[in-house]
Amino acid sequence: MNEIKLDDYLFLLFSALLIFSVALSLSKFSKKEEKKRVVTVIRCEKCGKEEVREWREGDYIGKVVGTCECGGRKYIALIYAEGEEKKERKLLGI
Amino acid sequence: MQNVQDMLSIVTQILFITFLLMAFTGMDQKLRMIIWARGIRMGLDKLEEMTRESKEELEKTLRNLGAKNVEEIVEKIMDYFTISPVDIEPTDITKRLGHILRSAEYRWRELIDRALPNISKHEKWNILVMMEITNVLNTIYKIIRHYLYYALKNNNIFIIMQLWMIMPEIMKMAEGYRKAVDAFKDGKPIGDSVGPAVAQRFFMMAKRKWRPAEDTVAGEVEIEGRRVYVIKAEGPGATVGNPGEAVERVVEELGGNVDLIITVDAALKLEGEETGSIAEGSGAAIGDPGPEKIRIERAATKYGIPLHAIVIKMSNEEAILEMKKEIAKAIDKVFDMLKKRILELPKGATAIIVGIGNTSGVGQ
Repeated sequence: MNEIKLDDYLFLLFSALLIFSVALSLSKFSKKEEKKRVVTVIRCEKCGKEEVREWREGDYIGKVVGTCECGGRKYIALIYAEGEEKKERKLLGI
Repeated sequence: MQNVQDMLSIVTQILFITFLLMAFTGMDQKLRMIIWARGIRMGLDKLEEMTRESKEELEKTLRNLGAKNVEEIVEKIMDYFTISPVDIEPTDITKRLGHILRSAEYRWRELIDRALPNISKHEKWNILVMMEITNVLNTIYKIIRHYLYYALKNNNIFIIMQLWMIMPEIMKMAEGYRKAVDAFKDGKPIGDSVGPAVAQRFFMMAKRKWRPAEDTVAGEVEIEGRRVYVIKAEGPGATVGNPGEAVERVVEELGGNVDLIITVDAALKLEGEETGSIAEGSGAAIGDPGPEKIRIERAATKYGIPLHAIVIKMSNEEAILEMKKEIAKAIDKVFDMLKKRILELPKGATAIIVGIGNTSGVGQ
């Protein structure tokens, strides 16, 4: 009965590595799409009270949008995008 | 089992001979070149798609606003170029550069004015930026395509290798520009709008507002006995205005009687630095090619006015995309820093604060 030699194991290992590396170089890593939402922060000029809502067309920083309960002007103080950071898969943690 | 061993042995021999032949005939390099070229071509296809999408978006926006000769306008701007001034004779180079840049800007504005005479100034600015982005994407695509074809034609593995190596950076940059189209189309603030957004806080308290230069506004604010002149591009359309010219005019109008000039701008962060981190320094923080920056420096130098800068750090991509929360949070911090800095001046002092950057989505 013939036994499988060490050379054969090495060959198989080498072939598997070769196939893996070729497949790796040709394959595209799937990237998670960033989920973002844009929010508008409305602030009272007098009392500093803030409210946050979804961004609407026509919003811009500095736009006066109404009057606060305290009588101060309410204006758009900030508009920013917030959401999940894009997660990139790293090979061997590098 | 003997058969398997024989087969494995034959395959090993064939592989060995193949590798040997490849190494001695240079085929291994040819193979590597084919793999790299394939990678570049994949990126190039993506670049072409991004350019096409950006072009279609621009055409759609123009059509929605009522323009008729849309294809003609877009074709004109796709390959529009500007030629740098002669630099072996540096006399007045910034003036000449400024003149060339303005000539390009006026030409693009003229195209929009003819096609859409009744749109608002802010809509016009947003379209202009979309046109610029489409032009940039098309230029990137054409340059990469040129080098790929040139390298393949001349069998130049070194050009292919360099292209393949820089492709991830190019793609990241192009993707940033492509995504920016949406932000500009909607008129949302971008990362670069942080400077004008800080200036806007002062405009809320302004007693008087005027236009010291084209597409640029100034406001006069009184803070506990100190006079503050605030300058920013006129928003909320996507424009950077002419802050250099505006600073020069305001300084001249005040006869040089200014105690401090502070520029606030977005700055490129170094890898490892946090987005939205704030740093203070000296000089004019403005990322224009030179014509505006030199006017601020000259005005400050002429009258010996201290010139300081506050920058908010972000990446290239973050600067042209919708403003991130970390950057937005820096607006209030910088505003407080500036107020504190103003109060350090003696009563009766005068300061100029300049919010540098694109004022997309920021009013005054």
